[in-house]
Amino acid sequence: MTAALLIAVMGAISAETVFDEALLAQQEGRYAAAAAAYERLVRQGGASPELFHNLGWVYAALGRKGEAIVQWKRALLIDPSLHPARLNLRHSLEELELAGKERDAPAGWTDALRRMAWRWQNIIRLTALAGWILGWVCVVAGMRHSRRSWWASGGAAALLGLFLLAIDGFAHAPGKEAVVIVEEASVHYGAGTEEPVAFTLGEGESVHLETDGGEWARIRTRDFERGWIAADRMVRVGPPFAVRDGGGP
Amino acid sequence: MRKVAMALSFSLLTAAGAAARDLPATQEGLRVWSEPASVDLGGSLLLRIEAVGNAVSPPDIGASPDFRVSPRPVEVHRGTMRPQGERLERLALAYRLVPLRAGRLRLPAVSVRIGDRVVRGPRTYVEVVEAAETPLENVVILEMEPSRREVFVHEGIVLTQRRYIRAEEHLEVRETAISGPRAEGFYVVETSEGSSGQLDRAVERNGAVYRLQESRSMLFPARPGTLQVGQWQFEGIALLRGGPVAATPRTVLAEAGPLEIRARPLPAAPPGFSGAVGRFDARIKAPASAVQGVPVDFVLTVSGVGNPAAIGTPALFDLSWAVVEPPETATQIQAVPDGVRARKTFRFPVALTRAGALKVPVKPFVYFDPDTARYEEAALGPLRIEVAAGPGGPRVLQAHFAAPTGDVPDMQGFEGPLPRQDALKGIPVPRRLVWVIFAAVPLVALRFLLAGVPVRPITRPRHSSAKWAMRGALDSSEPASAIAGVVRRHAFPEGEPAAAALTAKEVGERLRAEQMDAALALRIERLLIACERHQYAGERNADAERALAREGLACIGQVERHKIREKHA
Repeated sequence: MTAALLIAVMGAISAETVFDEALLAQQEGRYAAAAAAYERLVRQGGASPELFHNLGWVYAALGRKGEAIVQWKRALLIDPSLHPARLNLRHSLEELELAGKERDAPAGWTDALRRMAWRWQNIIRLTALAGWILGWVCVVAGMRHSRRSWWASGGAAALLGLFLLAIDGFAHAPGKEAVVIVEEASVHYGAGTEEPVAFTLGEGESVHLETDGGEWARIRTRDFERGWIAADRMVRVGPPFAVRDGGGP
Repeated sequence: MRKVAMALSFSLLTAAGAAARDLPATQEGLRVWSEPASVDLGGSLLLRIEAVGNAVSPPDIGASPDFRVSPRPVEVHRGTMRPQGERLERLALAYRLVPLRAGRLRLPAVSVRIGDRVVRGPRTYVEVVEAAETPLENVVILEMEPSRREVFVHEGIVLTQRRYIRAEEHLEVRETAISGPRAEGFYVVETSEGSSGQLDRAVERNGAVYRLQESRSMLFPARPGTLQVGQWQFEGIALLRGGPVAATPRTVLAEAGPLEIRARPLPAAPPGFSGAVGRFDARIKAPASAVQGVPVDFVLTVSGVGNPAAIGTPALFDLSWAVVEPPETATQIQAVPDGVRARKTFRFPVALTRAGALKVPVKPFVYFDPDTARYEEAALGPLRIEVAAGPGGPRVLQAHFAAPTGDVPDMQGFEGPLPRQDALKGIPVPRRLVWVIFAAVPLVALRFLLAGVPVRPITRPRHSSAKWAMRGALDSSEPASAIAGVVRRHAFPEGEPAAAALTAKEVGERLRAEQMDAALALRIERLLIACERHQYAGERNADAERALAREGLACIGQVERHKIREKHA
């Protein structure tokens, strides 16, 4: 528990420094350095709307428009009211002639719960850990001292910990939306380049992932067209909030 | 005879064409045909257009002196196909045409842009024969009435449109096309149906019964001068019923307008005029606190009766220590009896670069009231806001608002980067670590339990029931005696009758004989003696009684634990 708390606090302090350095690099026009710093934060699990917004901006400045769209969508997933991200996403989609083909961020209660879990993930994880550890300590102490109330309190605390862990797991269940990040991505009738091409998708177009996990993913477009696409042609909006290795496509 | 032969040949052609048309086209191109291929003067026909290809644009239909073309298509189908693996769009439209004269008439020219080329349709003709009867008169009457004919620019006018349709048993009127009125130079707000919008009732006019449909809309002149509300045209078919055979449909035409409205210019505007004309109320809201350099929303809400489109972004702030971004706007319109009530919201993202308790001056909202023909001001007052020092310190803040240096890409139109907002949201505790701890804790607990730490099973202690009994004893008439009774009952097995008759000394001896801890037996013995003394002392002492009860409870607790140990030994 202490280790987790230390990791959280130390990680947050180091993250602040990295973020500020990235922001300075971004302001000074060192976009590659800024992107690398922001990507480092994302790889470490950082999931704040400002981080994704700024990373999207840097990607757009580097000409990686598809990846920029992914980052702005992530920022809006976490904070739908972040209007700079909304404006930039709209502007970017207009540049790619995709305006009007996007849906607004989902607004159901489960989405609100996921957003809450993303925003407060450290608090949730630390509370879950605290509840779980305290619960077991109380259970052991209750058994030793024959105290029924300790048992009950310990059980409740452990259940709270499990519940919060379940919320965290629910919030980080893999997302189903992905965005094409290359100029033109071929969608095949089957998983493999030897399969005939059904149609093509342009950079920035959103698809729904039906199956994925390997080198090929079966996708569905807004017009309910289905096909298989190479996984490295697109990036999942999230979660998990991953970034590609090695820069541009 | 000639007419019959012509009709026969056309029907054969039409049947052949229809058979071909049932199957959608599978090749890139444009097809145009009419349905039916022959029509009576006074009747109508459909002009069908089908375009197939990549990136099909809506078609252009040329002007024709021989036909009146419906302003909007009556049918639209859009889809995609893959005849040979290639993805093609298919756009199929139908427009209604009313021939204006008899004869063999050429259909209006049709062209459509498919991809980067313009495709023109083939020349197509239709046979229009003289109708036996002339169009019906006064079956439909249209009227347009403006609330005023002279207003200020952006001042609202209610335009009432009435449509009278003859209501008779043997007559049925079907609308085929309605167009206009076009209101160029006006901003138009349709009032919703049902409230102040469309009404439907029976009225008498010129000795005949009509069904009256009435609708209202708001017109706001967008520029000064004489503006025109164009013609409102109705086109339909009247079916006469009740005869021995089905009657021929007869064309019905009606029109109203045009109308002229004079829009007066506004007087010379004061500085800060936003363009709002009407009767408005303005309010501004800001959060009570903010962080230096982090944008917060200042929300201006303008509500009242007037044209929402004319309300421009007001210049409310003139601050050297704040960065005010262009606002995001939202408009709500609601129909009310005297026009439309508009509510426009401006959300200004404002980043304050100073820290401390600040008073933000706000300029008044200026609008023109057409009733008084004067400019009015709605005071907005200063805003008070507590600004905390920003994260990252002045260096980051300065960098955030400084002009970017280096090789700047074309990022015009994009919102700039944001400073970080919350420290602990930065890097989370790794999920794997959380899972490892979750798995490890029960194992550690089990090991702790199995490594020789005595585990005592939980049994229901009588301690809690003793608490209640002790409370009852304190409330009784002889508390000391009652407390001693409670201790005796818990010290011996339940239901032992002899326990009540023993003296304190005998109780101690008996407990020691039953292998109870000597110290505990002595403690109980002393407690019972104290109870007896207190009982015979004569005077009641509440503090002493509570102390006896506490000691009694402590003894009972120890006795219970002794019993559990003995049971599981």
